[in-house]
Amino acid sequence: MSQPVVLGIGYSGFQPSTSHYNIREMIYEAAAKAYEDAGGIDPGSDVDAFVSCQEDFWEGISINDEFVPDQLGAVLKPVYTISGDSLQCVLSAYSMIRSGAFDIVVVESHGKPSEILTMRDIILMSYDPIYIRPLNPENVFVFNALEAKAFMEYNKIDREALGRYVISSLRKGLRGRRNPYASIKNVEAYLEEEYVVEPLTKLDFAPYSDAAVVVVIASEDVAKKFSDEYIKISGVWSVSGTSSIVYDDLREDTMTKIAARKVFDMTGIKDPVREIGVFEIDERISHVPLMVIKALRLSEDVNRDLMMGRFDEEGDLPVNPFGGALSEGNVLEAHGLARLVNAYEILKGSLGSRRYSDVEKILIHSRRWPSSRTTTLAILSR
Amino acid sequence: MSYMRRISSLDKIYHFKTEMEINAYHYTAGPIGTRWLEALKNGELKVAKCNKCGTRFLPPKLYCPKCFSEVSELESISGEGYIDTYSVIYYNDSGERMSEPVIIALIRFEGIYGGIIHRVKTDPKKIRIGMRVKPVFRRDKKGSIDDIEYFQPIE
Ligand SMILES: [Zn+2]
Repeated sequence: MSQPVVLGIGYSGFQPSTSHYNIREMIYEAAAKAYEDAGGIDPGSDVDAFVSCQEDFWEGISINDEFVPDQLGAVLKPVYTISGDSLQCVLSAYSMIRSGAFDIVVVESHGKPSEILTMRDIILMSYDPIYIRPLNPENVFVFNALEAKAFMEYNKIDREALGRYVISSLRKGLRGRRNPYASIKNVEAYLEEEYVVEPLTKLDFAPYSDAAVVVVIASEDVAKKFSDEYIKISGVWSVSGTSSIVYDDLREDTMTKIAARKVFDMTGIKDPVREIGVFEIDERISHVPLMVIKALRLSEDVNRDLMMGRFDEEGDLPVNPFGGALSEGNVLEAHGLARLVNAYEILKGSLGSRRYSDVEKILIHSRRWPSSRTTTLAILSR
Repeated sequence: MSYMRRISSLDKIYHFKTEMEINAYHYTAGPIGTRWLEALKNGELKVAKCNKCGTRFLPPKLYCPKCFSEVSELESISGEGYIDTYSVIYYNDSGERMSEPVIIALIRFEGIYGGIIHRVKTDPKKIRIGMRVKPVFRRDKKGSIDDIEYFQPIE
């Protein structure tokens, strides 16, 4: 069966606002760069199909799939649109390549939150209209806070440990390439922050960024014709939980647990702590990566390991070593591809020091924002 | 890209602000949801019950969340529950400090799968996971989850 590989990547933005370009122009820039990075492919003659991950409400355009082809060079080709995080699109492209029916599939995703003037209304509209929405809470992130509270209490994670995660991640972001929000802060400053929605402060939420990302995925045999610098997608799996958080445990991330079992099985990983060199994890809300660390069984005592710095750049389990979403910003559905771009660059040796030159496998994780139970994991390897 | 250099000033780019009227829908509660909401209107908290596997759950659905069977039965419960998790809203979405913090909690009921997310009225300093609470109904009820004004601690 065909081995899917990442042949090229391109992106535009990763800025708090990008008022000079509209989103389609940003996608065009990302696509042109990705096709070049992939060894100079021609979307018209070389690409078999295109997959786009997006959400109409973020676009302000209904049935936005009609707007996918033009700026990707995908007119008169098969185009699929998934209303979900971009790692879900990677799962589709992976499956299409594995089927043997497609040789090259382009994945595209984007987010331009700077254009959204009614973010609260869109988020509130994502909740059950009969049993939850009538509560009309003054802050729509209170639902995320319910999960954060349950997870932290049950797993005995204190505020200082959560603060350490946030502060460490913002600092790691200074060494990354796409991180307008990276900064040097100390834990004391974090602890002085007031709760916005207990137990979360404003530092626990990634601010918004605009970005478009395009990734060229190919079968290894075909990829070799264009370039010998590609990265393998060894496995990818997605799990969707219940739509209602009241049916969820909230004390653990069941979706990641199940997705991990499957993806480790696909890739033959027996001991993730030893075999995976870097973890690129969704941290758009700061407690989420801690839930993922727990679900991946990387740590028996997350609080202790946070205080010991195990997930820092010099730790044995580096999480987002060049910054995650807290530094790069929340790029909506493009988040999963942002994690993939970091993993691709680390494995190619173009991002980071020799510290990561012997990393063989990187795990990437994304959970659809803001409070979806759909989680996707992928393993990229040299 | 190279043609970006031609843009010397951002104010030369046009932006169009538009407002879309999209927030008007009829949401259907369905047969079991309607009966559940009618019970709330009568000041009664009920749960859905699956006749196949016996699961009792909240909020009600036409399909059992455990065994996927069709569900048609509702059963009364006392309404006394406990706080499984909570949050206190100190700042609203626009970043303004709330004059009075609002507590939102996930309330569960013994032996019932699922639960209800609702307001809890008590001192934010006193609230804790596991605290026992009961619903306080509004006098003027409409058949909505909002017929419960809030939950309050059981003394
Ligand atoms: Zn059942």
